[in-house]
Amino acid sequence: MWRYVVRRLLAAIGVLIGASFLVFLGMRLVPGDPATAILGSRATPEALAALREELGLNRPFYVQYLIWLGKMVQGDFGTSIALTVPVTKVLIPKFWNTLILGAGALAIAVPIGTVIGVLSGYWQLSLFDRAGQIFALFGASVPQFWLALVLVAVFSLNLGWFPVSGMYDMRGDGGRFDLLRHLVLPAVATSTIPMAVIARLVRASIIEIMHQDYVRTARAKGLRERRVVFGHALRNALPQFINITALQVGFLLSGALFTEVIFSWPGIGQALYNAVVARDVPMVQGAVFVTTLVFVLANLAADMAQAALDPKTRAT
Amino acid sequence: MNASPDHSLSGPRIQPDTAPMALGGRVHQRSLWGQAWRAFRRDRIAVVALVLIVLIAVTAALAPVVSPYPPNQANNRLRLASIGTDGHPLGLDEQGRDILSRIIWGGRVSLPTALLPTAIAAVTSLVLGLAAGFYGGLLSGLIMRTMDVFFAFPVVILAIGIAGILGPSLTNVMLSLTIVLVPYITRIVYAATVEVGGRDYLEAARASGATAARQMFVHILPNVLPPLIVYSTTIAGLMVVYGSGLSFLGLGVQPPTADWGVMSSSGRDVLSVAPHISTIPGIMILVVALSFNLVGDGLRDALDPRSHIR
Repeated sequence: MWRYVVRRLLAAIGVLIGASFLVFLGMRLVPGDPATAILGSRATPEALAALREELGLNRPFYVQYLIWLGKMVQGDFGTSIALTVPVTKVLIPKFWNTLILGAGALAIAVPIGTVIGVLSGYWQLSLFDRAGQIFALFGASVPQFWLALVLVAVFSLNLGWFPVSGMYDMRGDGGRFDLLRHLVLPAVATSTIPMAVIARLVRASIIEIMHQDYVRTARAKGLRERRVVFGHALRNALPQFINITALQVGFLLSGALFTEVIFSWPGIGQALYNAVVARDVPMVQGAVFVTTLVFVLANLAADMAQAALDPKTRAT
Repeated sequence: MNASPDHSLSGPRIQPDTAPMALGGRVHQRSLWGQAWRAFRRDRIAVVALVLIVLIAVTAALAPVVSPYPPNQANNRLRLASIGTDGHPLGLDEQGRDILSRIIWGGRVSLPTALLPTAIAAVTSLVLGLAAGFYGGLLSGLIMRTMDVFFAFPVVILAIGIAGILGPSLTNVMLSLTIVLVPYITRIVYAATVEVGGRDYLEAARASGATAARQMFVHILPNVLPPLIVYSTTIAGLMVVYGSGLSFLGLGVQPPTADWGVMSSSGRDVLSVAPHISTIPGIMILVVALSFNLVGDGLRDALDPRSHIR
């Protein structure tokens, strides 16, 4: 187990170093001078010269990267051009907001996706399976920005059940209930792709498990079908379910960007979008890297959880 | 879209060992594709989806001929007019432009935005994955570890980051979608190549002195193409969604050019009075994405002899 953990951890660190290099390279690909890109076109020549010195722009490329990496490891992503505050300071609260949205979306996607997947897999090729497959197909194909607009049109503008945008009501008390009311529509819009993928993957893994020898053995020795399903099949599927769920974080982060923009949810996706529109390079770098960090850590956690629950994974 | 145990991601495995003519190559190959086509034709839903895609693409290509109005011609008196207005079956948008015409013209932008990156990424990945899987060693390590790094970024985040750094334009959106896709498709090709590499018939080919080129093109390629085609078809649907999503965010083609994402975005401000402006383009995106998914599913079943058992 420990050998696996260490190996997986080292791989994740390697990937993150590579990713940080790409993010760094991205800034250098911005047309024109990086110092101007960071300080904006209104910066004084003195400020530009000072920043060039600070970033080591006159020094070799790898030195520049190491300086940048050193700062970033300490949580210093530089200063936002558009907001003139440290990037980290902007991103931390937004990160929590995205986490709330992600948790809301998972709370919808995981139970529904898993139940559909398990039942479709168990009743393979039945009417329920067909319906579940069609549902998953729609979930995987629907443009999330469009679904968000439809939800707003129907449930906010027409029926008035939920607020159009934001996290809290300006006049409200800002309590938990208010947050929940604001969370429903964005969470639904974000949940579609993860839900569809979970349903499909869970179905595939259930079909595989129901054909295993130990399921046949359990049935042959006369266990009740309920015991076979809950005691044997689902128990063995659990590590895979956890892994499947953790792997949805990438989709969540991707989908959250669209819903955050449309619902004015003050999360990291909206921050990235605003930074891209404002061509705020340090902010873009910070937001992309933080999101990537979360994604890599989630995948790492997924593998660890599966390894802890399922000895077979460790052996490979 | 993550690496996962889904069968759709690992792709179909053709089993040439069961075919007596496997070493003959060409003869077997033709019958395989012929069989696949016959199986695909039997899948009515997939055929309907394919016809739909072709129909939409042809209509878009013929836009100058079939479109009832020019895409940017405005009729101020009929601004925001709803579905079913006389002479404008899908209504008019916030600037009084005919929505049907803009949907038809929009296909000329939205479809290539998704399909061109998919095609370019598929070819690039075929080269990278074949090279990595066939030669192994240092080259494989270099290619696949680089892919791992790209994998670390969530898809949309990477695409937006790239488009944001390069600046908003249609070319940059297509470039970013291509970059985002390559690692995913390369993994598929690599896995298929490595799998074939361990088969007895490749061993036999090597032992009988087949050149590297012959091994690659006669023995490996026919086994790599099915999963590549299936995956690329399915992923093309997602690219329609993401490509129009980037345009929706204003990172791609700029208004007033008609594009399904741009059109959906332009109706946002009048959502309460004229919801059809945002909704109709979204339905087009959904229909196209759904169709690509269905064709991909049909191809997978058609190309996978084992699927009849499952």
